[in-house]
Parts: sequence; structure tokens; C-alpha cells
Amino acid sequence: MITQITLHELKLLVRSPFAWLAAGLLQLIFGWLFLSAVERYIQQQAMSVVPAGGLSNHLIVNFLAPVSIVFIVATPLLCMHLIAGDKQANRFNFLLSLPVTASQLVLGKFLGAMVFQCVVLAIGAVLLTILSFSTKLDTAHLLTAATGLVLFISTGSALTLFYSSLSNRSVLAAFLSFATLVMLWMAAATSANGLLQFLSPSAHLHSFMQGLLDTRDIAYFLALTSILLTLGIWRLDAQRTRSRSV
Amino acid sequence: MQGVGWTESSSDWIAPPANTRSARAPRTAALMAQDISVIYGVQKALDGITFTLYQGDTLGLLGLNGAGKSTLLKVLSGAMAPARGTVQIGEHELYENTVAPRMKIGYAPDKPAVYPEFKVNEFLHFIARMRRIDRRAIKNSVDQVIERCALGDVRNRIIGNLSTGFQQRVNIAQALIHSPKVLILDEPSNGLDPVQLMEIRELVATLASDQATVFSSHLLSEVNSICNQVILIDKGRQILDAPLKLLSDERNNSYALRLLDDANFNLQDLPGVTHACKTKAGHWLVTGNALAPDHLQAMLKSRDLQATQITASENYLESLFKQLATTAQTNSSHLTKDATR
Repeated sequence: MITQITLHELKLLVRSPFAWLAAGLLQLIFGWLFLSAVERYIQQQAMSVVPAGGLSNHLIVNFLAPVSIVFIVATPLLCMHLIAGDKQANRFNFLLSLPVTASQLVLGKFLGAMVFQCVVLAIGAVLLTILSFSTKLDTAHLLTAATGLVLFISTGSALTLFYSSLSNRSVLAAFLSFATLVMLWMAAATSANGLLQFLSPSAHLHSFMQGLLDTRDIAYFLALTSILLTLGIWRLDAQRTRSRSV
Repeated sequence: MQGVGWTESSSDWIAPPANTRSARAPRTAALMAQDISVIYGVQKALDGITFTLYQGDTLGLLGLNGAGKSTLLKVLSGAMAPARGTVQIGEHELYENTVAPRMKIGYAPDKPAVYPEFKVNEFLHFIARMRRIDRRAIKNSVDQVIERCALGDVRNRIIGNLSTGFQQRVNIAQALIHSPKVLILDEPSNGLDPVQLMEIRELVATLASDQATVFSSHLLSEVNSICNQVILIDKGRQILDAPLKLLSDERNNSYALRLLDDANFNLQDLPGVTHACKTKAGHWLVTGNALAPDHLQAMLKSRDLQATQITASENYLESLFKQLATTAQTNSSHLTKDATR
């Protein structure tokens, strides 16, 4: 059942002009970031300055790390409709009347959005593959950074899905998710210690970008994503199982 | 309004047909709603709705706009748990089991719950999978429902490009695809032109024999032409639950009564009265087989009740519905006056 809902969400995204526009814009941004990073590396080499960590590290700092910031905007926009869209189109009650559990609905929708974003990310990664034909890249380092990015996107998607389950307006869900992610990113960027720093997905992405697979960071992303998805499931179940008062 | 009427013995799972009340062939209850109440904030949207529906019955849910019809249908379809009460679908309690009872329900909301970017065929295939139809039987089920709902000419067209009438047909088709035991249709004739209206009514009438159907409408004529049982809801309260045959019997006479001091009396108890409803303080509508004004007056006198006015009514259900509309109109004009002051 989860697979059916995932495929359905993917089909909905593929048929949405907005998703195509977003995917196209993301590819443009990826291309621009990639070319800027490569150009800067060539300029530095021409000046006989070899960046520490070589080309792979340079690409991670100047291409993959900014991509994570791009997804702070893109993920809320691509996931905002997941549940709120059904509410706006008067399909939500109908979905609840189907013989499908809330967890199947939430997981199916989440995976659909994740697959779409991963495909967009993978298309962007083609640029790195093309580059790897002409020069040697640290594949393990790049794959670790990409894994971190996927985990980062999954947390952002789960957060947007949760807000989407709370709201009747897709735009409100996107705005709340964007605001939360920006706030947490700023907490990481200002290197302030404390709860916000600990909660910030951007802070936990750092080790992945350095090529480290830290189990604490992996556990953080998996735990936060699971918690947010569980909250979304509870929200949906609430309407089906307890007294409704608005 | 206070409802006094015929009610099915709610604890019985096997009971005679709703329209005949005879004990010829016992039928199994397909849907049993007991004491359904829904509260929005401090306002009661539904208050103690109780009824039983049997296989082959078509229940017309009548009420003015905002009476609580759609809320009740959401509760019956499994989309919204009531604050109080139970909904039994076959042997399952709807809100204690997520999957099994919902597999027996087909629900078509008032606004078609369709994905406008999908083709009709594709959408129905998706719904068939969601309704847990066996993979090998999906194509057959989709073909059957497309034929049943006369969607053959548009099966490969995008839903968003179809007329309202066809979208409503797709809406009904998705509810029928798994041959549900209980079919719930929320105002299926909403927004249709007269020709489409007739087509949808015919479609609903042909579906009625196979399952228990709950059909909401604010049009009395629609309920009269399709249903065999009727429930009238006003401000969330059930004021009538009766077989339509009982109400529209040609031998029935209906009267509007004005009584002095009727506070503790129920006219339903009068001999010969099939159904009685108190529309407001001192105002009653009664119907009964071969009921005559003199006889009614005499019965009232024998119970120390005094009727100041007895007026014959054409049709009990129609009169009751008109009374509801008039009361609602009076209330709304009072509200408007208060607001403009």
C-alpha cells in the first residue's frame, strides 16, 4: 500500500507544472554553483594556490554545501502540498475513508516526495560524474556528503509534511517549514552553543561534508525524521480516533 | 424541533425490511449508527443520531443547508470520529478497526474527490488498489464500474477537462468500484443541470438494490423519488426516521395542530397516529391512517389537551420540511434584524 501511495505522489509531482519549474530552477542553480566552484578552483590553480583537500573538498565546500541551503527553500515548496493540498482540494476526508492506515498515508506521501527530490539531486550529481571522467575525485568523500544531503532533505521533508498535516493551507505549511529550517540553519551558522545548535540539521550535516560518517549525526537525522513522521501520523489518526472539536 | 417517530430496535441485527415492517424475510443490518454526536468547539453539530440500515435499503438524509448532513456522512464514512456514539458496519465497529469496515464502505463526498490531473481510467485503477481489490481483478472491476456509470466515452480523458456531471459520475464510480456493502453519497446531484440530475438519479436508483445506500439531499423530491427510508435532520438533531411508504401512504391524513399546554405530552402515543412531530412550542404535525379532525379532537380532549387549530396538510413530509424551512427563515431574518440594529 505504501508503494502505491508513493507512486501516486510521484505521478502527482511529475504532472505538476510547479514541480517541473522547481526542478528546472534547481538544475540551473546546481549548474551555476558547480561551474562557479570549478572556475574558482582553476583560477586558484593558475595562481599556484592548491586548496586544502584537493578538488573534491573544494567541490563539497563550494557546491554541495550551498546545495543544502538551496534545499532549505526547495523542500518546503515541493512538500507543502502533501497533506494540506488534499485538504484544499476537499480530498482529505475521502482519503481518511479509504481502508488505509494513517502511517501508510504519511509514509507513502513522504517517500514519494523523497524519491522526487533524490532524483532532482541525482541529476545535479551528473555534473560530478562527468567531471570524474577527466580528473580523479574522492568518491567516498563525495558520497558521504551526498548521504548527508539526503538525510538533511529527509528531515526537511518530514518537517514540512508535519506542518502540512496541521494546516489547511499549503503555503502556510511551506512558510512555517522554511522559517524553522532557516532559524535552525542560522543557529548552526552563528556557532552558538545550546539546544538550537543541537537541534539544527545544518550543524549535523557538517561532519558529512567533512567526509565523516558519524553515527551520532546519522542517529540524529533518523530520529528527528521518525519523530516528525510520527507526529504527522498522530495528527491524521486524531481525526479518525478521537472527539473532534475545532 | 423535537423528533418523535418510528425507530428500529437498534440492538437487533436481523430485522424485517424497513419499507414493509413485515417479518417475511429477515435481512442483515449493513449499517448501525448509535447515538452519534459531534461537537465543534462548544456547538453540537450532531446530537444523538440513531438509525439502522439494511441491505437493499436507500436512506434519504434530508435537511436544510447546515443541518449536519455532511458531518453525519463524514462520520458514517469513517473520516471523522464522533465525540460520542458508535458506527457498526456489518460485524465491525468503524472507529475501532481502520481497514476491515472501511473496505465495505463506498463514499462519494459532495465535491468530487478526484485528482484533476489524472485520466479517468488511471484514477479508477489507483482507487481500486487503495480499496484493496485483488491485483488480478482490478481491470475487471474498473471496466465494470466504467460501464455501470456510463464513463466509457471519457475513460481516457483527463478528469479536470470533464464537465461537472461527468466528474460527479467519476466520483460515484470510485465509491462503487469495490462493490461496497454500504454506499454513502453526499448530495450527488450538486451543481448538475436538469439532464445530468435525471441521469444521476437513475444511476443511484439502479444501484440501490445491491447495497445499503445513504443519500443526502436538501431536495425533498429527490428523496421521494429514490429512497424508501427517510431521516430528517435539523440543527444536528434527528427529528424523523421513518419508512417513506409509511409517510406517503395515500390513506394517510396529515394535520397541523396548535395546542394549549402540550408540555408533557407526546402525540405519538395517540391511537391511529403513525407519526407526530413537535415543530415548535404548541405546534405539532401529525399523520395517521384515515385520521379525521373530529376523531383527533376527541382523542385530544380525552387526554385533557385542547386544540385551538387543526389544519389539514397535503403531505406530512413536505409539511414538516416546509415548517423547518419557515422556522430557519424566521430565525435568519431575526438575526439579520438584530445585526442591522
